[in-house]
Amino acid sequence: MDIIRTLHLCHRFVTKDGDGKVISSKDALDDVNLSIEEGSFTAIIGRNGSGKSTMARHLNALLRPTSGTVLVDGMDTADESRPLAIREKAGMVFQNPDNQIIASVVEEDVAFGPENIGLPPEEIWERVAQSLESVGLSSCRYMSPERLSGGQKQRVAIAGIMAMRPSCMILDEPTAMLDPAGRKSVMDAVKKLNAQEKVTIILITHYMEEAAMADRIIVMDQGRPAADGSPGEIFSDEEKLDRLHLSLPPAVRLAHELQRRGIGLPDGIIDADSLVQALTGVLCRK
Amino acid sequence: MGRSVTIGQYYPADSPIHRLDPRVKLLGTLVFLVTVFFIKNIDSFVLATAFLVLVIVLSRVPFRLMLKGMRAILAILVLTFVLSIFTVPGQPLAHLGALTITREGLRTALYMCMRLFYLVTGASIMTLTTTPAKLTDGMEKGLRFLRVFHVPVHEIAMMMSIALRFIPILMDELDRIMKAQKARGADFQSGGLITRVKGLIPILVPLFVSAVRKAEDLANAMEARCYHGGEGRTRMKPLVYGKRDAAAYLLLAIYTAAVILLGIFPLSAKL
Repeated sequence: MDIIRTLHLCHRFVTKDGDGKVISSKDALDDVNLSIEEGSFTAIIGRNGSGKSTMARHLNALLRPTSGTVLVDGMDTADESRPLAIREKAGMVFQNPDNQIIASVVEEDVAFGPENIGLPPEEIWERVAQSLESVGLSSCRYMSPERLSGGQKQRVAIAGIMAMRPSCMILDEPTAMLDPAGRKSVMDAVKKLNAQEKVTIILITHYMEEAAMADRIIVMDQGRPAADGSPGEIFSDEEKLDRLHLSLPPAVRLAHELQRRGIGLPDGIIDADSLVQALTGVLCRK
Repeated sequence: MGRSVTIGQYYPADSPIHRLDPRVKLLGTLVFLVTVFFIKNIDSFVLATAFLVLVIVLSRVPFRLMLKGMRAILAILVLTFVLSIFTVPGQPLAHLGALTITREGLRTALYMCMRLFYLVTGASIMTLTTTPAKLTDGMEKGLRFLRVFHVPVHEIAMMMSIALRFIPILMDELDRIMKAQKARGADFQSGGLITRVKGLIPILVPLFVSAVRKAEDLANAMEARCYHGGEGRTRMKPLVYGKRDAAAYLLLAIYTAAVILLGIFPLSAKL
């Protein structure tokens, strides 16, 4: 079943001067038709200005379409009366870990979403404990967010979304401001939520290595999807990626180079793990 | 830099005062501050002192921490003391050149300093035993009746708690901007007052820009988490009065009544 569908979605940013005259306008999204399957892990990549963040903001009604329709679990985001129901279904994690933590204690921040939905206190306590557990931060529960590392803060933000029990989580470049260790901890948490809690993940990123973890990659360019497929399919067309100004992850590039030099590696190598596996296969045959 | 800043100087401990409902502490502090101004004789002075000592002992906050707060108002204390000791007319006690110390002046000076001391101590007990988050919670719930007069109580409390959360973040940002401007050759130390104030512009402009950007991000994050004002919002830790709070209110009422009565019918002679 599709959790999210967009039909002819367009978004135009219009800049007006003081008199209301249009100075400039830009089509950030141009006739996007996508459907995201429930329980899947989709990565949306693209260079700056390709429309990927605008796309993300449409999926939980922070932006409304200029024309076209976005359906989240059957609900139209243009319907002014139910943004809350949509945001409860589709939670969103932002880029800057500092600017999205509201409370001064970790557990109170995680409770913010459930409090807004209006849940009874006992239910909130239960959900806060569970969400912190699911991102591996139960021990930081009473700490001030100030004392946490960037990766931990971002996981607190994820826990804050999980506490609303969404069926879908949109992450808008969640690792862009983190160090490698923080990036890994956040990506591990995201993968675990997708696998164990069956949360649909939509990851906006510009790291190819992260996109490789998804089931499906959508490449955005100039406001529309330019490529769509599994990581293996996307990575096999190096020329097209070049045209879209995207580079392959190092492990995939190495695999392609080796293939070119006549080493019989199978197709569909997407990360270091699958490269190692394929190489051991080749070596054992010899 | 940001990490060393403590707002409200909360002292973590598990005492009966810490566990009191913040509404009790807010009202209690207010009542105590008002009664301090009603102290006109030695009886009510002893009573207020006893009350203050009782609360300090119960709070398990080291007394030296409270004295630390005194340092900030030391100048005011000295000024008040000196001003009133020399300016109040009355029976002369001693002469210091052209200045005369009077009996009434000495009395007024002592009372004024004592009042100031009690005001600051009383208020700091509240901030030392209550986290800023609990204080804003207490204000939100305790002042809810003001909504009748269209005061946006929830919004003000939310703004206060967000301000508290963002102070350390903005301090870090300020530190970063200052370093960045210093690296570009900015000089904040030398020059006259005007030069120095002008030197603040390249710090304040980026700080405001960054604050506005952060505010926009935060607004998005709050909206994404279903925030829609105080309507229909529940709390993870709702404030509920317990037996302890009732006892505290009773004690407060007895204390207030005693101060008023002693003000009207003093037991000992007027000082």
